[in-house]
Amino acid sequence: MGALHSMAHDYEYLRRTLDAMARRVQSALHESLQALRRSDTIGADQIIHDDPDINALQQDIEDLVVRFITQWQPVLRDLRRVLTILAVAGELERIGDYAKQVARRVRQAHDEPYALVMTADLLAMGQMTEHILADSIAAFLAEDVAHARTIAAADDQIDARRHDLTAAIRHAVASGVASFDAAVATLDITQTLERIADRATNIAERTIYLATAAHESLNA
Amino acid sequence: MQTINLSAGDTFQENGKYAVELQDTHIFYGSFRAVKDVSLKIERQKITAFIGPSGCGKSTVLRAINRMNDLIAGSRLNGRILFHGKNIYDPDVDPVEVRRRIGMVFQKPNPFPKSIYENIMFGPRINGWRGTKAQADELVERALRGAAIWDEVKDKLHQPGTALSGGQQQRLCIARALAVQPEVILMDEPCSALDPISTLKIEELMLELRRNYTIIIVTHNMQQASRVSDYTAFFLMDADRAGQLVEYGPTEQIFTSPNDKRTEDYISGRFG
Repeated sequence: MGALHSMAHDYEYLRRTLDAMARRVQSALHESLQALRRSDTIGADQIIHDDPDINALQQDIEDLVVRFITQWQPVLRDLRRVLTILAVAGELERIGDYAKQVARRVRQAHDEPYALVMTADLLAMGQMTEHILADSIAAFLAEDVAHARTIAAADDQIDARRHDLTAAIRHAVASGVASFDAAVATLDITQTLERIADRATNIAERTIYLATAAHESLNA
Repeated sequence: MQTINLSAGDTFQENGKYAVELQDTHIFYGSFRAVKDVSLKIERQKITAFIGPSGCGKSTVLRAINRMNDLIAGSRLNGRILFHGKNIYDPDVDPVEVRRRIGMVFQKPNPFPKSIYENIMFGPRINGWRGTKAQADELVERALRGAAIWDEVKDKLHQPGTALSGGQQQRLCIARALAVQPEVILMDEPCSALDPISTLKIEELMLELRRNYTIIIVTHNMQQASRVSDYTAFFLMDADRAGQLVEYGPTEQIFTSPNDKRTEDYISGRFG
């Protein structure tokens, strides 16, 4: 039992490291949306500055996974656990980059300068994105397949929201309400938020694979 | 006693794709039932791995397949083990003939304290070898080549087999088994006393031998079972301490999505 206890202990450490990374990424997304809401360049700069910390956590997880596999030679669910942690860390790292992209747009709008349009709609979409990300991470950490499957519906809503926002931006440009630069930046943020939701959906798919050993697409 | 009379024609008609078939097999040591109700079909020219914790009966089942348990006083088998459609436990079957057709390699290499050459010729000689010296030389070379050890020993055939390294000794023992032209080779943890490189050489050899022989291997090394075998049988002791077959299927399925929770727990190292 001693050896098994150690394996469980090492796995728990790996899981907690992923949890810490997930919280950093969620915080980066939240703060980038706050920076958007307040046109806060200091907050935006902080997110851009802190992104390497998220990348470093991903590298830590890679090292821990390599060590875990070397020491314990896991199989079946144990192996799927560490392989999916590796994959989820990759998804989180990209979500961190997307949060940084939102922050860059805030900084750029201030520097050029131009006023971003439809920020209230963007923030509403951002909030949906935060929820889907939180749900996917919670489902993954709990290995909860039923919870993971609910992500598909939320992702569809975000896709629909992006579609509506794109039409609204097109209308704003045509009617002269939004400048070309503002429209491009706003479109880019909607696309970025939609991609975060896609990554969250990937995390949900990994959760299903972890628990069932079957690949299931939630992006029908 | 009669020997089992099996022509090449019978081989494929009677047994089809299976080399050995266990039917409702129970094995006893005195009053103790060591193995309970095992039914299993072993596919021809495939490698089948028997896995399970110590005491689960897998080696007992393996030894039953060539009547090696007969050598243990008080051992008894109920059920049938079919080889070419013939129950090898029928009274008219000669166990020595069974062991010639179904060879065995043991956990620790056990070359005889004789030369490499005589180790190979031992089996043919006790089976009434009548060939010439040139034919014997040819048989020795063929067996040693078959066990992938010829190049390492061809210049020292008359030196003692016991002077070889552990891995070489084990391949010599495999060559010795091949010399009597078996159809099935039983391997009881053949690599457990070997270093990793020697282990991989034996595994490569097994994959090579599979082209002509049916191999059944007992192993405690899960990675080895998943690397070399086509089929895996998982055994476990029940509440009466009798070994039973829990799950049997293609190795890829057993090692990726086993049907039985106990299989998953064992393969994952949860017990055993």
